[in-house]
Amino acid sequence: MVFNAVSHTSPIILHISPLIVFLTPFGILEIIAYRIAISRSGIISYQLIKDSNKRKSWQKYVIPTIIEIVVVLVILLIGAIIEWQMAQQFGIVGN
Amino acid sequence: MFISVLLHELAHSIVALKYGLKVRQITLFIFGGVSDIEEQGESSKDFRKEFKIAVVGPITSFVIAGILALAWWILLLTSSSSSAQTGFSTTTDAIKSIAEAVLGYGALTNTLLGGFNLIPAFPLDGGRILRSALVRWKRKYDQSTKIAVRIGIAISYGFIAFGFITMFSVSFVSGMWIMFMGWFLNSGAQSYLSQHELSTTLSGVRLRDIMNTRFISVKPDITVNDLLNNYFNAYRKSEFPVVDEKHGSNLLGAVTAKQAINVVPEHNRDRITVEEIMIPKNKLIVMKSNRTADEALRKIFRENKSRVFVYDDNEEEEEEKEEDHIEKRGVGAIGEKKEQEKLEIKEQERQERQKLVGLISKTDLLNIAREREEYEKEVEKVSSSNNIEERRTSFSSSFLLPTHKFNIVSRQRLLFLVFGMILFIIAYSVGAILVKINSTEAEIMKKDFQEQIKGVNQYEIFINNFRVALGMFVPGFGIALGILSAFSTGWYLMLYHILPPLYSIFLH
Repeated sequence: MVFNAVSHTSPIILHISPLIVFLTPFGILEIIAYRIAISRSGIISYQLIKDSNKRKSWQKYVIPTIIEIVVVLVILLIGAIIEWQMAQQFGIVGN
Repeated sequence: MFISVLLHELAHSIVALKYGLKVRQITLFIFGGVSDIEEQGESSKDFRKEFKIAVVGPITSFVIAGILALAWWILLLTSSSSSAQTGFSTTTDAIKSIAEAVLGYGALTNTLLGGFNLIPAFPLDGGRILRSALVRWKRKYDQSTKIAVRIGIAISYGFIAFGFITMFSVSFVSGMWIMFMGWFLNSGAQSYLSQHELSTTLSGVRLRDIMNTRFISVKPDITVNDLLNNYFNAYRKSEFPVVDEKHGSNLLGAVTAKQAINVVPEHNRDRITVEEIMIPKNKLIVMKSNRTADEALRKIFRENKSRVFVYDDNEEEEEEKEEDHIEKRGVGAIGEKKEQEKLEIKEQERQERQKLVGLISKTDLLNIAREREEYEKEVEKVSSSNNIEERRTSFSSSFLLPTHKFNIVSRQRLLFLVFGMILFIIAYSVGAILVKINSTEAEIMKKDFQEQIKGVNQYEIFINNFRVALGMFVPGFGIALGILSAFSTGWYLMLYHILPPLYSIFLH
């Protein structure tokens, strides 16, 4: 969204690689949040495959996942506020 | 389809028989078939044999597919030339078109059957081929089996995730079918893994070390009434071994409460003896005390029985020595028949002299396996915590290591995070750089995207992002969703990148 906004005010950005999104504050936050989620998905899959006694060790999966969902929620909330602020500064969304 | 599966399974069985392995049965079911080949002893662990037995199935399917495809092609050629000559369709043409359809369907089915079985997921043939390759590489059967089964489980989760995506993006029925196949592979691999683990845990345990030697037996000559009153009602057990105490506790058979109550009418219970209603010894699982527990458990599962009767092997060893002696002595052609008869009589006598020394039930075996597994886990835990302690003292970066119960910031966690990041960058880059679209398509998609984001606020951004993130937490599916979302993010940003700068101003 910010990329869209910036492209209107500063078309020069269109000559820069789209990988620049990694360097924006909200981009970094979103990427961190998504990576936490994906890697937790990978860990649970790995543990489900490896652990033969899943019923007994369900806490091992559920509690860290809940904690990380809360962490991701906070990160994404902050990221969304930053993204919104930046998009408004470049002035095209919300109308 | 069933004929194709049958031929596929027959090919496995023929090669297995050639290697001297027992083939108990071939079972056909909705997803294919299973050849019940004995997995016992070192010969079944030979990777060359396993490879040949496994690979012959798909090869057979492909050969059948090839023959059918060739027949279909020849038929197609002849029918097109004949219809071109005559110019009208006849009954023969109708038969030909049916034959074409059957041959075409057969060729396709066999190709799919061969291809599907080559997926390296246990218990499919591909999984067995993978295991034989791993055994060749690693030289460790147990480790190779675990790796091959886990790869199979991972593939099954891939199927489920792919099916889930297909269900909502392409076709609901196809998606469900793919998910069902994934579930089938998963349950097959999981059950093979648990059986293998159980078997490995019990492989070194001899029956003589775990059997229950304090058992109650009944005499063959007591009446059913005695049996019910003095044994079943008194000891509350479901089954008793029948033993001939006159000849040194030789096992004769077993008697169950169900038999005593259901088979014998009440008025006959004073007259009929245990010997008349007992299950004969040859229908029980009777094993030497020096046999292993995993063998016993396999037999219990296979024959659907609840216990193993263990007999003493001291006399057996003596007998075996005697037999060896006879063999070494050598027998002439005339005496061969007599010796054979002698051996048969001896075998019969030996079976009659099997002295019952213990019993072991399925529950006992499973409990022992569980205890041993728990012990191994404890040992593993202690050794890994010792390693952690060692590492803590040698490295100052101890914050990386687990310090609390749920282990949020562990070394493994960081490894997965880095792996996730690499995966994201690759998917994003593929979407942003490698996928080429023309400017017209980009313009349409950009307009579409701008329509979508019109009027959104920070809460909607947050809800949208959080919803995507929640999906990424789902095991297996989350990874696929992550890759897809990284790819599409890169792709969308690419739309802006390829449009000419001036053009984007007009879009404003």
